[in-house]
Amino acid sequence: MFPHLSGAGIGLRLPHLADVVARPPRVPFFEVHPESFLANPHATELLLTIADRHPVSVHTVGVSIGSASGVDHAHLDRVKQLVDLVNPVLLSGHVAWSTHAGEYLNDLLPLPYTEESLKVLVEHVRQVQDAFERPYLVENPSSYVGFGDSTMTEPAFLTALVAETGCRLLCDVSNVYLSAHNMGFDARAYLDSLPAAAIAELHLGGFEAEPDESIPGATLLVDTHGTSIDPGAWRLYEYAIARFGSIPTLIERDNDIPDFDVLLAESRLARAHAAAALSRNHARAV
Amino acid sequence: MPALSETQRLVRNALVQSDFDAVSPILVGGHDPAARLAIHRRHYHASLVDALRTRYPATAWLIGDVAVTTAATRYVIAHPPRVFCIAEFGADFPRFLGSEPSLSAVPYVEAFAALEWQVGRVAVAVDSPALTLAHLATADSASLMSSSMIFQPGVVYMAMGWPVDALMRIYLSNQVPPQFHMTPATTHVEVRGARGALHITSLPPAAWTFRHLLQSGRAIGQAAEAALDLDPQFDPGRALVELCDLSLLTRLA
Ligand SMILES: [Fe+2]
Repeated sequence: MFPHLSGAGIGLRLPHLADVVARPPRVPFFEVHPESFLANPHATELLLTIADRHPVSVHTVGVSIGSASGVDHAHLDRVKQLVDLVNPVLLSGHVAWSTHAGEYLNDLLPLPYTEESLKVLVEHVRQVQDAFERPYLVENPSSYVGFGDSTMTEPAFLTALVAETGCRLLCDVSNVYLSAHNMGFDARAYLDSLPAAAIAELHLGGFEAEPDESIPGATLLVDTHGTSIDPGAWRLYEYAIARFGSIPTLIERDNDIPDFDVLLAESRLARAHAAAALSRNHARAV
Repeated sequence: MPALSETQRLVRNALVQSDFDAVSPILVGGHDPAARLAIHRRHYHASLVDALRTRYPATAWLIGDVAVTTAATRYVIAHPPRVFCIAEFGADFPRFLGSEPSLSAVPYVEAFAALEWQVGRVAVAVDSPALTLAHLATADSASLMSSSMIFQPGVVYMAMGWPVDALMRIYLSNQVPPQFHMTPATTHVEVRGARGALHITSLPPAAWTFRHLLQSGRAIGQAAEAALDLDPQFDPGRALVELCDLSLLTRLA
């Protein structure tokens, strides 16, 4: 029904559902967290109305492909029921873990980049793709810490995961910017080392600076999804578009959710930044 | 190098129990990576406490936001979520509130919070097409008594030791009387919700028992007998008609 996806979509959260049904905005696509709907039949009903009119992407937050204790198949089944109803244009999750021994820790937690972790994620991405019968997009995390025993860089880990499973990448440009700042790597070099053909979606979300308690005088960027997009992230976004081409992009906002018009304006801004990056590419080529 | 499962156990203990000593040696990032991991610990606590405050606003109205936040802070350490949807987290928070010594002056807090949990759950339900009286009339009366009924998804029957339904109506109507006395009394309540609409009705014990037993899968005949034991005047035929009139039933099981 929606064969080609482009432009900048908006993360759709429960407070905006009824308005979007009542006054359908012009938005290239919406992205939803299935976990917000599984216990809410009324919201699901509204979502299905929206999915009839707009492309919808499903972005899982609780599937936890990085958990050594395994993916919870009961949860996967519940998400699949919703996915079957919505028939999303994209289905994605995170290179992270959220569960341990049956507990759900409600966060996207960091992984050591080792052969063991890779094996765990390869197995779980295969399980997820088999269950959903569609490709899964995996998103790079926002990082504050790493692990001393990591043997791979994050891009090398993601590249290996793509090669082993055929999954695709959701590159969260804000996460790259934030992690580069916090962990001290070059954001552009990071983007350069990702497998461009595997990039299927980009994310942009807000983060906030706070004092880095571990380095006196330094700041740490914290992924809050509670503010507008940072100028530095916009510049990196233009770099990403120049490198990867016109990739569907999502504006993410999960906290201090503003009026929908504010998100619409950011979606238009993303389109303008993408157009600027592509026209510079074009000018260079001629 | 610890196995991944051990690494995750150590990180989990830092998040939930603030035990950073064991995980610190394996972390990198800044001069004090454990201080950075504390961002995740902060998120674990803040997001879950916030989820409980969002889920229990009426309870916060009753006992104060500080009391709910204090209890929630202790609860998320003692009871990490075992559900993947945060909207489903906190089903047993009412029992936890009921066992808090600091809340012993509010002995009905557990019943009130339990009612609030059900209110939140049924308010987002979606009705199925209702069973009509005409359809019910087509069933032959002999087999009808051994049939059970399927109720709408947004219907819950609760029996409580305090009349907390009256308190909940005050909260929902936002019309607080100058004085309100709570005295223990067994209260039988039907909570009915769909698409944001909500009705809380207190029922006579016989009517409540009939509906409650029917909903829990008992045959009409069995539910009627139990109701008649409580009230010999109870009229099962009229009670069934009423269930149809209220669109509470969806089909015969
Ligand atoms: Fe993201």
